[in-house]
Amino acid sequence: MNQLNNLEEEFKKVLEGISYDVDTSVVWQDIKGELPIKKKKRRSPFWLLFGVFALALSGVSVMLVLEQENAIDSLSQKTDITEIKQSQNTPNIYDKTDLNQGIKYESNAKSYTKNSKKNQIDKLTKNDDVIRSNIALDLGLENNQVNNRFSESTGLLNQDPTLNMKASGKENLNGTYNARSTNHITKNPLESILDEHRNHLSILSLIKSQKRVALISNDRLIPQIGIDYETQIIPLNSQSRFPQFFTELRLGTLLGVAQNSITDMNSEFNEDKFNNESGRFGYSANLIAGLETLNGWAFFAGINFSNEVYNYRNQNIEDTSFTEEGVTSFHIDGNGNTNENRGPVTVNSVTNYDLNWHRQHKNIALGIGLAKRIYMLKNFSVRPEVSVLYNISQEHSGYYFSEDSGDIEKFNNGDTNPYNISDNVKYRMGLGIHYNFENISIGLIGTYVYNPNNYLNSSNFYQSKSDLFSTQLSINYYPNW
Amino acid sequence: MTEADIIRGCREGDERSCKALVEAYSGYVYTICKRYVKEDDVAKDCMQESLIQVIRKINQYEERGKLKSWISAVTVKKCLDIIRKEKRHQSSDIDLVAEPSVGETISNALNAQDVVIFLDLLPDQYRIALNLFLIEGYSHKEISEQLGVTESSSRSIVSRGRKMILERFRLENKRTENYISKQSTYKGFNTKIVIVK
Repeated sequence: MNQLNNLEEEFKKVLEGISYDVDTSVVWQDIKGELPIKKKKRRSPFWLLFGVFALALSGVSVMLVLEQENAIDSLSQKTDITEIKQSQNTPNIYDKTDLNQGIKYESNAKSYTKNSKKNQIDKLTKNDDVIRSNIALDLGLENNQVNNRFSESTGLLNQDPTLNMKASGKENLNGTYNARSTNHITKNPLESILDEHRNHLSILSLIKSQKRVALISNDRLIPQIGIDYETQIIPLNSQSRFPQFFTELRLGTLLGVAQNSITDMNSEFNEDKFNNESGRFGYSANLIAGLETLNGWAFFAGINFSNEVYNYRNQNIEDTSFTEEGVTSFHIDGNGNTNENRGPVTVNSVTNYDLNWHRQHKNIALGIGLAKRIYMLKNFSVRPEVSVLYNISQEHSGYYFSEDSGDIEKFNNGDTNPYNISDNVKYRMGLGIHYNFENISIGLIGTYVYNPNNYLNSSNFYQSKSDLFSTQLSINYYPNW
Repeated sequence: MTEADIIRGCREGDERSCKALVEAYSGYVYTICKRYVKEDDVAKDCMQESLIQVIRKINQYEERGKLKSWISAVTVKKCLDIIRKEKRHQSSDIDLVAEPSVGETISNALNAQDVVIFLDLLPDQYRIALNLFLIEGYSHKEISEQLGVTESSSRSIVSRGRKMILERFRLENKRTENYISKQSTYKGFNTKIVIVK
C-alpha cells in the first residue's frame, strides 16, 4: 500500500471509527426467510418420544413379568404355597391363606411335583391334550364338551363376581380334596361338575394354572381369563420367562442410492458430471438389545454404524474422427529424397478416460424399533420390523462437486466441505428370516432405510438424497433369565 | 455464545447461531455498506444481502483469519456487486470519470460528520476507490478489477480522491456554531448525521 500522509491517516482513522446503530431484530426478521436455517431440531421431541417409548416398554415388561409370576405361582407345589395372588377380577376374596385353611394346589401327577416349575410348564404344554382327554374320560364327556363347559362355566362365573366362598377345605394325604361350601350363591355347571368329581380337582387345577382359566379354591372357581388353547406360537426358548431379554448383533453390506440434483439454476457447473456417480457396497453393523414377548412382539433399541460409499467413475472411451490437410503418401527416390503428396486425411482420435473417485459417509445412529416374530415351521420364523434411527455422528470424506472450480475436489474428514454434519432422523423397515435353536437365533435380514434429509448443506448449489438397501446376517442370543 | 459457537452453529443451519451472528455484525456490516453506498435504502439492501451471503458461505471461511475481516471482505464484494448492478441499470460508463464537485458547504474540520458528508458528495467511483485504497488496502490492480477500469484509471481516480481529501481537510478548522441536523429514519434504522457548517 502506498504511503499515506498524516491527513489521510487521520481521515482513515475517522472513517473506520464511524459506526451506525442498527435494529438487529428488524434486520433478522427481514433476512430470516432467506437463510439456510434448518427446521427446528427435533432433538427434544425425539428424546421425549424415546422416553415415552421406553416408559411404555418398561410398563408392558413389568406387567408381563408380573402376570408371568402369577401364572407360575399358581403352579407351585403344595409345600411352597403360603400365599395366593389375588385375582384381578375377583377382588377381596383371598388375601392370604395357609396350609390348613386356604387354597391348595396339588398335582396328582407325581412326575410334575418332582420337577421344577419350568419343567412343569413345559410338560403341561406338551400334555395338554392328554390332560384334557383324561378329564373328558373321567367326566364322561367328549373333549370338545370339556372345552365348551369350561368356557360356559367361566363365563357364568365372570357374570357373577359376587361369589364369596369361605375357604374351609383341608387337604388330605391321598391327594383328594375336601371342601365345604358355606355360602353358595350361584351354582354353575362347572361347579356341578366339580361337586360330582371331586377327585379330579387337582387335574383341573393344573389345567387352569397353565392356561389361566380359573383358580380353584376349596369348592369354588375364581375366574381368570377365558379358555384359549391357541398353541400355534411356540416360544423361542420355552424355559425362559417372558418377555425374554435378547441381544442381537448384525453385520452386513449396504448400498446407497444417491440422487443428485442442482438447486441453483444460476450455477455454471456442468451437470453432466453428476451422471457418473453411483453407489458402491459399504458395510453396516448393529448392536441391539430388546425384549420379546411370548407372542413374538419385540421391542428393541440399539446402535447402528454404517459406512456408505459412492463412486465417481468415468471410464469412457471417446472416439472422434475428423478430416484435415495432411500427407496422403510419399515417395522416396533413388537419391534418398522424399516427395510428399498432400491432401485431406482422416484423423481418428481415441480418448480413454480413467477417472475414479470415492466418497464415503460414516455415521453412527441410535435406534428404537418394533418387530414381530411369526413362526412358520418348527424352527423357522420370519420377523418384519420397523425402526427409527437418529444420527449422532457423521463423517464425510472423498470428493465433492465444487461450485467455485466447476470441477471435482477432494477433501478429507475435517476439511471444509459442503456436507451436513448435523443430526438426522431416518426410518428403517426390514424383513428377516430366522432359524431358532435353543437360546440362539440366526437370521438373514433385508432392510430399506428411507432418509428424508439432504446430505449437503442447504446453501449448496446441488443437493443429494440417498436411501439405503442393506443385507445383514444376525445372531440373537436369548439368555435364560 | 462464543464466536466459534456462532460459526459452528451457522454451518449447521442453527437458527440461534445465525441470529446471534446477525445481532453481532449487523451494525458493522451496515457501516461498511454506508461507506460504499450513499442511499440508505440501497445500503440497507446491501447489508441484508451481505449478511445472507456471509451465513450462506460461512463454510468457506477458514478459521485462520479473523471472522470480522472475512465478513468485511464479503460485504465489500457484495457492495461492489450491487453498485455494479445499479450502474448497469443506469447505463453509465465507469471509465468516464467526472471531476467531483465537492460541496463548498463542507468545512475543513476533520470529524466524523464531515468525513461522511465528504464521502456522500463524492461520485461513486471516487468513493469506492478511496475506500478500497485507504480502508481495505487494495492495490491499484485490485481496485481496477473491482471498478472495471484500467489500472491507470484506478491510479488517476485514487490520486484525485486523495487530492480532494487534502484540499478539503488541510485548511484550518473553521468550525462554526451552525448545525444542521439531518435525520434519516426508516424501518429498523435510525441514522443521525450532523453537518457542520
